[in-house]
Amino acid sequence: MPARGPAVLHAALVGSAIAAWIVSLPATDVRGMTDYGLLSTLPAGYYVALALLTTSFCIAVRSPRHWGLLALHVVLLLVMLHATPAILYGTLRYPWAWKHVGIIDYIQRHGSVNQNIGELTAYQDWPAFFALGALIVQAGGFGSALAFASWAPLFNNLLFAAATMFIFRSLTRDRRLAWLAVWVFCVSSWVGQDYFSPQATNYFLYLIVLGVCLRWLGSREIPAAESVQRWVRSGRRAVQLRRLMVAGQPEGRVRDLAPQAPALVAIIITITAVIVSGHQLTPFMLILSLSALVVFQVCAARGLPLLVGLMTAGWIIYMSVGFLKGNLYWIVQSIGSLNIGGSTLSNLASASHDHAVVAQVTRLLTVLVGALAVAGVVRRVRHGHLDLAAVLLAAVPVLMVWGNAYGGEMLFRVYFFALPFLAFLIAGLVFPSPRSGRTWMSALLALALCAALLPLTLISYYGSERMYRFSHDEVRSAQYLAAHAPPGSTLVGLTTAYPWGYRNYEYYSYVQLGTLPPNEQLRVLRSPVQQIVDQMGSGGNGHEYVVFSRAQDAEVEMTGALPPGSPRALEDAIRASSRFREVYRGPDAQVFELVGQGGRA
Amino acid sequence: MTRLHRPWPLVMVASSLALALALVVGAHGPVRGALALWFFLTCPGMAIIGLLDIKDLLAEVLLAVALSIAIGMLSALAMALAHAWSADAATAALVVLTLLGARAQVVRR
Repeated sequence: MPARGPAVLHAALVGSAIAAWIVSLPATDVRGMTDYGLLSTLPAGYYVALALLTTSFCIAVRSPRHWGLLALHVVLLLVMLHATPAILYGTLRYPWAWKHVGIIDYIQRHGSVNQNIGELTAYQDWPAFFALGALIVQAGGFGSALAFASWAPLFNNLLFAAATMFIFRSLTRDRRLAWLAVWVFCVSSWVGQDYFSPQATNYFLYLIVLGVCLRWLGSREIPAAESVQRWVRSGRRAVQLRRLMVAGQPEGRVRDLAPQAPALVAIIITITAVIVSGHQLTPFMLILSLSALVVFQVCAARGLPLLVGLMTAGWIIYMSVGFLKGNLYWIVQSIGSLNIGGSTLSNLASASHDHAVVAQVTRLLTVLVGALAVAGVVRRVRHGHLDLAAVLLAAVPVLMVWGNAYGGEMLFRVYFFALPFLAFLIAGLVFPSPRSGRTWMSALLALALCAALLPLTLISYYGSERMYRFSHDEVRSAQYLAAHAPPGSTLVGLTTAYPWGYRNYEYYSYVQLGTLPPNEQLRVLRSPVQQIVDQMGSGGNGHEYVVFSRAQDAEVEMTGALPPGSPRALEDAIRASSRFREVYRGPDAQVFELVGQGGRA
Repeated sequence: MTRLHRPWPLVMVASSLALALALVVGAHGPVRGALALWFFLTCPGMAIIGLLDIKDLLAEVLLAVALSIAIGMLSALAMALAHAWSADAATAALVVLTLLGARAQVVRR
């Protein structure tokens, strides 16, 4: 246990933080959210709680023997960051998470996957996550994955934090460096790939595979300069490269598990089988990362990159060929379907002022993290430590940018995969060597780092919540559709920001006016009723519905998916038309059914 | 905490039998749900990881969770692709795997 004085200090700081957080929750009214997202509604107590917890951590991290105290800080930080939306909303956030619930619902009902369904085909082709979800839902008697999906961000972030600690302890014997790196990772993770999704689970598995390689599958002997020269030809460069390999060996590697190495490789192969069948992009990131570790002699399992490559190719060729025919361009650029870039890099001209500010902050944070990591590398090298593995694993995801048709969007996905290692390098700024960083200055430096990163991450992570949150009324309207819209119906909405397709998703065709080309959008706005009826006629053979809702309006206003004022104009036109009748009306959502000419009701 | 003192076999046996009992008697409610989440996310992997001599608690738990997810996904994926879906059969198979792993760990001690 810490000495009595520090223990009292930590108890006071942590206790006050918990109290401030708990008190802040009922004082938050999420209905008043602006385009700054959740930040606009959280009271001062929430920020006080984070500040107190961060201060306590930065003091405690200088004495890492008390690992339980540090772990408590990390868990509390993640609870405050990721349980808050789940508690405040009471509904599942992110429209994509609802679609994932829908795929699980399909497997529950059919006991199989179907690659011939037009909607959400990629999920049927990489279904491992959804199959396990269906199994747990049925074995647990849940009825639907909605019962637990809201808590996925907290659960996933706890796994990510633990997995990064596992990795960092392989990279260094300095526990202070490892703990601070975990904290920096948590306060810099803004990308929002932590929700109920295949990419979040596969990201955890990706980290575990890298952790095993770094911890137990290291090279026992670095090749002689003559052997290295075969690859680089120049004798001088061969010597330099070999020196790099020797200096860059992870400090925390364990060499006493040699008898278990075959078992560990078998475990890696099992996990990899899930990764290649569960997500489109993660296997490619894994191939790149393993290749870098093997080439630089950090990992001795030389056949692993080739094996992962063969498994990936095998799955794509035999299981996903149908999807590839029409979607090859999309696969490489996609981690799930969370289109962060769409609201951050592109179309800022049509975004609302506040949302544009959020996007700019996101860019600033990304650049800042990269710059701090470079500074951390320089400081560590000056103190005689070369974190070669961390540098490699932070750098290689960048290669994926070249394989992407929408380079800007891929940048933030690259950031997500590089972040654990960037965080490690940043922590090196505070603890460049085991002998340094023992004064109060190090605590102040750590505090300054967190004070710079956490506010920017809060803005970036929470900044789009206005269109990611669904009120209970919006959920009720989606339940109405699921209960009343017969198979074959066409569901028309403004954007993706609605709980589309969480039940019986394959029954329906979906049209989102905000995704139409600009000229078609203009046609719809000039003659809303006729054009919307035409859109319905293209796919529907049963009943047809138009859905207006608060989150869709928010997305239109924030991103400019449709011209300003469109939602109200379209709703007024539909309401005034005799061809539609209102079948659901709530404070946050309205559903209209086509009943006139062309309708079948 | 050394490996010998870790109570994994007891935890695995208790978790497996509790989930099996909940399924057999057709229990409903949050306890069964929590049991299922706990079992599928930790037990099958721990049945195998517990046989390795990993002295690091964090590494042991993380590998158990990752391997549990992998085993669960591969089992469910195989059933879905083979059009042979049975949540009860998959759960039973994983319960048997877990119990065998627990037994092997006790024997090794």
